[in-house]
Amino acid sequence: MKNEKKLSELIGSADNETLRKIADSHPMLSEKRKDELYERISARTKQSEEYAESVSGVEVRSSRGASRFVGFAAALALIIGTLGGGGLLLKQRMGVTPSAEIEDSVDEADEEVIIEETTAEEAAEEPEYVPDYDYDSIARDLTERFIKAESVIQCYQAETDPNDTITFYVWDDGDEEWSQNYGGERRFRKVTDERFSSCYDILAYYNETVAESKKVGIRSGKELNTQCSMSSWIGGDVSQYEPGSTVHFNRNENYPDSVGALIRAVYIDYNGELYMRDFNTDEYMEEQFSSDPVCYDFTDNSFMVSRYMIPGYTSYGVMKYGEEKIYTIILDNGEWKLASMETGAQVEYNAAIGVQSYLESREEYNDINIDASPLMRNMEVTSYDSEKGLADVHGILQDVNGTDAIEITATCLVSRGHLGVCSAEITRLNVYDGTLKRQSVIYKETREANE
Amino acid sequence: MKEKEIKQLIRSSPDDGYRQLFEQYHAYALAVIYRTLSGKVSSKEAEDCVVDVFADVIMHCDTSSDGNIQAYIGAAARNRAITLKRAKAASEWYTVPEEAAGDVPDCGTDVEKAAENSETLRLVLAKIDELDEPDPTIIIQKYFFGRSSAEIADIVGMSPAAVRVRLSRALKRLRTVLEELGVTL
Repeated sequence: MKNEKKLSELIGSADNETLRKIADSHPMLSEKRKDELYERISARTKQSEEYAESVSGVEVRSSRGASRFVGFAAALALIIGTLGGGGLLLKQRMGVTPSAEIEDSVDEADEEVIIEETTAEEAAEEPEYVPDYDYDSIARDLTERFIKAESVIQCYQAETDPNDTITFYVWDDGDEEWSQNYGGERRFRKVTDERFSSCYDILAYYNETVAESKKVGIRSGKELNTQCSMSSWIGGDVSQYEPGSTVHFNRNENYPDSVGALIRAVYIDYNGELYMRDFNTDEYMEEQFSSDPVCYDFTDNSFMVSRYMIPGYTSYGVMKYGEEKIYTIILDNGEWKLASMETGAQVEYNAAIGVQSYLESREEYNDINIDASPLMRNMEVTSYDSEKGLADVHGILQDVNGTDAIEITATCLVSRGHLGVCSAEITRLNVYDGTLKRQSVIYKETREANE
Repeated sequence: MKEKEIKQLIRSSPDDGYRQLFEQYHAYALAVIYRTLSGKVSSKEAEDCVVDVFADVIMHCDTSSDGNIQAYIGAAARNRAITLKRAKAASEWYTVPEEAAGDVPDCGTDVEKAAENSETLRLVLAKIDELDEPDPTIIIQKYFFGRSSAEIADIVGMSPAAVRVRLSRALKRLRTVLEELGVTL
């Protein structure tokens, strides 16, 4: 049989429209499970809303998703703006309307907000706002130390001796297929980095930057960025196993944490020495910021920071701007520490999704390959305005046969919650063949014909 | 319900609107998550991701604009799956190769192969859909999303043993057809 493929692997080639078709055709969850999940979603959003209200003293009566939060920010900005010191903040975070569409959205949101505890007039009587701290320096120091720690933990950024290694073998007695494919050798290199002599040194390096309530142990707490346990990377002591031996376990039964460390961890301790998994680290680099920190939303004991970061994995291709990371920094026992981190605008990726959506809705581009990967590779973000959340992109896109088909220059909305294309100039480079259609178009046409 | 109608419902009755949004797109979000993680993710992890995705959508997606909510959900689902993938990358529980720790599927480098896979997948799905329900659902859940018989039983309202029997019989009917397409189970 030629070109044999596994059914389960074919799903990797499914485009979004195919996934939509599968999802629409086949129930994925029972009614009971759906109810349970939606309960959790409701609880999560309610919790965030209550937090926003408790912090701001602003009641937001609408529950309209994004506009609720735009409204909250607008109200907060109004207060800060009248205090005098928040002018820059206002410009940075709020006072920009990149398009009529967004302008409308902000206006609507403003109408939803009722300021109950602090009116603008009352606020104007307050003393002029004077920063108590050098927030920029605090933000710069904390965020840089934090991504250095993350780079060590998740991107293999510690010095090692490739010639000093120990090897173990792991085998799941209950799952031979897994053992054959993913089990077997686990080789670790000795860490020679002077900063670390044990797993706990790495944990301590990370914990230096985070608030007390966010500190993690190997198996306690969650990492700020991924919300995963540190045991995904840091394994702890495995000295009870003999190098060269095969460690048997069964995933369907309980097994010691030390076995889990051998299976999955990047770092382990062995006989008082620290080792790092011998992995192909060429695909990783140290995470780096591509912008300076921008501080906003100051209170007596907290502020927010926005900063753009180039992710530590190189397979994204060349990124100029990367992802916005939004940190909450709090005063924790007299010291400023990180309390949360989330991802905001993803400049290159969100621009690609915006263009994808734009082309998808226009029949004359039914032949264009609009998968996110080629769009990201073939389009360059020529400029990015973080205040407006606008990215200018330019590129030559190909049709599904791989032929250069259109040249596009577009301005895209890339901020979180606002994906789309504000304007686009597209020039055809080949003659459009109406019969050439990407697979998702064919699915869509079939689905609509059946409806 | 069309996306535009859901947006209108969100405006007039947010609770009903978001519930409808979840009803309509939760399966799509799950499908994107399974694809991004190559199906190698437990049901609980995938469902946790869905909770994160819809909480994100409700809190951050501007449903009052003309933006495409499906695209936003797809992007949010993919991002959440990649975060999970990064955490799993080192473990190799799910054989995430070193080059894939956090990247999008690289389906654009070989256009011909991608098109061929896409076409094969289309034919496979068509053949699966020709079976009588609940067999298509059982096969999709088993082979596309890696669910256990017990999990599938919960979805289709049968016992796990009955699911295994149905699956076995359905695969027997399907196997010959798939082999002609060069696809193995």
